[in-house]
Amino acid sequence: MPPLDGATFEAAYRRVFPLVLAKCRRMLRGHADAADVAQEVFLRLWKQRDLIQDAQGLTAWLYQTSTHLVIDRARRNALSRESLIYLQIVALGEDDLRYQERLESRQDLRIVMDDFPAKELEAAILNRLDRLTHPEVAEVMGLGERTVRRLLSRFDERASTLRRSAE
Amino acid sequence: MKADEFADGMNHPSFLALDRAHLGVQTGDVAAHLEHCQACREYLESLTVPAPLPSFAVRQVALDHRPGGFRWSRVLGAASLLAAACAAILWLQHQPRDVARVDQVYVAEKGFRSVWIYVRRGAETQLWDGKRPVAAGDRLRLKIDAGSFHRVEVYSSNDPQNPTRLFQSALTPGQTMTLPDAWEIDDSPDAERLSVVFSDGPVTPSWEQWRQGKVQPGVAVLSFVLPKTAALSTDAGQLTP
Repeated sequence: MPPLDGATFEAAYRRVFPLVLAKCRRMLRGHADAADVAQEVFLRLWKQRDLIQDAQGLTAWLYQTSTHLVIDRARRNALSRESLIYLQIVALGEDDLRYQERLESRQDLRIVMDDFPAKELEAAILNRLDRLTHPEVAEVMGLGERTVRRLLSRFDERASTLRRSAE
Repeated sequence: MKADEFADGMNHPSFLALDRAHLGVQTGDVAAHLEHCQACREYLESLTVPAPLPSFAVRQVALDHRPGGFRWSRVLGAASLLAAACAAILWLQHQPRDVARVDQVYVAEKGFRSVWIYVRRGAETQLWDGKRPVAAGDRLRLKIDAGSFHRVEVYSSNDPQNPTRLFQSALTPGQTMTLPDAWEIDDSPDAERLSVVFSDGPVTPSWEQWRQGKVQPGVAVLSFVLPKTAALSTDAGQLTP
């Protein structure tokens, strides 16, 4: 039975929205960004709730959709400066100290997100920020584990090259 | 990579596993971990705090409770359907009797377990014809007729020794279900192999025996080999939320 079958919007919201928001807050530093993306994800979920068969499918769908939306918005520059810097830190594998440094500097923000293929970024966000195992990333992305390993490896190579070129 | 809030050296479950536990799907490993991990328990507790309804939710709740009322569109819609049905009956009555109709040519057992594979390439979705090659970046979505079965599992058999389960769900006998997940064809040169296992309850795969056609009663296995072209799909690398 679909996990939201027969649920009212309010009941579904109280049950599911907190985990959507938590997922978005792991990806984004701007609270308004996180709330905005979480809202869009949840409204899409509500429209498509009949297609989702169980809690596992529901969570996989939420992780995939919210990650896609964040990457899309980052590439369209439709996120706050805080969120873009944070994603850039994540993409380059830097630590929090660089976040403060970049936030405080007045330098133009270089959007490194464009340097990574979307699939590699998606796999990296799921694996590094959400702590998903390779089989879990494979499940969420609808790919094989071998492909996930390859995506993460290419992502690391690309990040390493970018870090070297920035130094 | 930024150190996450639980970077304490412990091997925590993923947030996906914790979120699933929050929704009632909890593995033994996660349950055991939660017993001694304060941080993960706190994360789960943070999900149960009832958030105040924001304005977008309040609007939606109000829409849910709006009384139906009289709508001309409903009347017009019903009238249109009735007119279409009458036209179809009149048209059928005037068809020559010796012309085979489509539903007489295509013979299939209604309610028999079946699988339709839809291939999405770019903006176009086509039903797989059993021969046409797929390409890296194509996305596959399955529609399943449960027949008399109560459960389905879908496996990727690209590694024949160790097929990977992609999906599992309960089925309602006699009903069709479009699987919510879609799977993207990877860029390996090998053909894409899928196995769909119908059963009436959880079943331990016996791939060696199944390949020899020795399938236990109450189980049906349908296998598909989708040949692959070297060309990338036009959809490769695109996001499809």
